[in-house]
Parts: sequence; structure tokens; C-alpha cells
Amino acid sequence: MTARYRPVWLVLDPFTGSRVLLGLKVEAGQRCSFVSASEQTWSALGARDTALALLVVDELRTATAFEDLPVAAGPQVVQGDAAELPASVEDAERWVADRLLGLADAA
Amino acid sequence: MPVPHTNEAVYALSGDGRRWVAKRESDMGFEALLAEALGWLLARAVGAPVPDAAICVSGAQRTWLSACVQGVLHWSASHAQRVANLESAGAVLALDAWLMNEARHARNILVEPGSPSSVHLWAIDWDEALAGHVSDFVERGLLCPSVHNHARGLPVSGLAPGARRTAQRVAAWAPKELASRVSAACEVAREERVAELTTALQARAGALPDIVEDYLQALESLG
Repeated sequence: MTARYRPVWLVLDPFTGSRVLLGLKVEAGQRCSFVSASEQTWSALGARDTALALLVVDELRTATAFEDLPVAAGPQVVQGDAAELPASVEDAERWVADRLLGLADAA
Repeated sequence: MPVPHTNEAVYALSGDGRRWVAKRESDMGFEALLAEALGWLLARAVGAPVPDAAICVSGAQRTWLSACVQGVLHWSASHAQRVANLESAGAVLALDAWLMNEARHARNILVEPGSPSSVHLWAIDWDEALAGHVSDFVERGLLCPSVHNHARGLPVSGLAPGARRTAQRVAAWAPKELASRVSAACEVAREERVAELTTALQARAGALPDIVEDYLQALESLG
């Protein structure tokens, strides 16, 4: 099975381009899902940006399209290029969570 | 810097360090500039939640500036139970009905997180309001705008009281309150048909309570 992923960022300041990773969109077969980064990733953000990040992640979890972002994610969310997972990976979501987002180590 | 998910808007900084979303008249057309200016002036007059705005004039080039509201999402129905500013956001619906703005879609409603359980709505982008196209606007008379392109899932019953109060208030305005704002908007856009536009807006203002009722009913039916 060929699976792909792409990063999704919250742009904190469009004038400087500063941004924080929200998680990874994963497409495996016909299914698209969103694997959120650890909330510790946002720990340096203020309360306002943290609240925004949580709301955006809620919207991204409802996304069903790998190519496009849901409109509701808002004007400060951007996504990166798609990349393929190794062909040997059987559980794409688990793999990106463990190997790319380091959630297994964080648990 | 282009603003994501828009056609022509760019982020811009003014000399005093303020942050704006900028749209050039040469990209949007003078009709859209008129609609932006008129929508903003009337929104401020009725207390609708709109960001600060300005006009930048450089030679013959005019640019509409809307204050950059950071830390926002676009509308989705998942926020319907969390809207804190129902009264003022309701005024936006009345203004949309008045100006024949049929573009109150999800991208034109900004959602700003407040306390953990509430959000504040902002209305942006009046540029597609038909009031910017004077002849077409006059032709539409007292018709209710279409809701075909409207954001879904708004808490219409919660917004309705604010929309109705705004409609009643506008219907009772003295003619000079409207005329001064129409005149200012027309000056920004170099539109000469000030009297024609004022007359059409005045007529719709008088009928606005009824137009808003029809509009709210259409929005309710959207779900």
C-alpha cells in the first residue's frame, strides 16, 4: 500500500512567517486522516494561540481531502508538500505518530 | 505577501507599524471599493463587528486596507453554540440584507477564540455587495438577497434579535445620517451617482424590517 503524509502548520505571524507544526495529514488508500502533534509542541505559545491551535486541530480532524485544507481551518493554516511513506509501512497513522511526531517517545 | 486563500489580497504594513490586509482598486474595481467603504461605514454606524479600515491613496492608485485580525479561523457550524457577540453579529445580517451582500460565506466570517468556551465573530469583505454596482442595486429595488452562497450552520435564532433591532434602528434613521456616509463612500471610490445610491439605500432602509424577516427565514431554511 502506498501512503502519503504532509505537514500542516499554524502560521503565528504572517509578517515574519513564524509557524508551529500542528500535525500531519495522512492518506492511506482511500482514507485521509489527521494525526495531531503533541500539545507539548505548542507549550511555548500563549493562551490565545494555544486556544486557536486546539480549535484548528478540531477542524483538521474532520478533513477528508488530502490535497486541500478545510475552509474552516482559517487563513493562518498552511500545508507542506506531500511525501510518501516507505512501502513496508502497514499502519500509516501509527508510523507517522511514532516515527515523525515522536508521540511514542512522549507517551 | 499574499493572503492565503484569497485572489488579490496582500498583507501590508503601514509606517506606524499597523498590520493590514490590502486590496488594490486596480485589482478589485471601483465598484468593489465603493462596496467596501459603504459596508464598513454603515457597519461602524450600527455597531457590527468589523476590523478597523483605512484608504491608502498613492497618486491615482487607491488601496483598501482592513486591519489584520490575527489568531482567527473561518466560520464552521462547530462554533454555533459558542458565539459570544450574537447581538452585534446579528447586525451583520441586517447590513447584508440592506446592501444586497450575497457573499457572507464561511471565508468572510472570522472566528476569534475568546475564553475556552466562546468565540467572537468578525465580518470582513463587503466588496461583493451589490450596493457597489449602483445601477444593478437600484434595479433590485426591495428584493431580499439570495442566501445560496451563505455560510451554513449559523445560529440564526440567536442572531435574529440583533438583526431585527438593527433593521428597526436603520429604518428610523434621519436621512442625513445615511446621506453623509454614502457621500463619504462615494468619494473614496470616485462614484458620482451619490443621490441615486442614497435614494435606493433610503428606500431599502424603510423596508429593512420586512426584508430582514424574509432574509432570516431564508437563512433558517438553510440549516
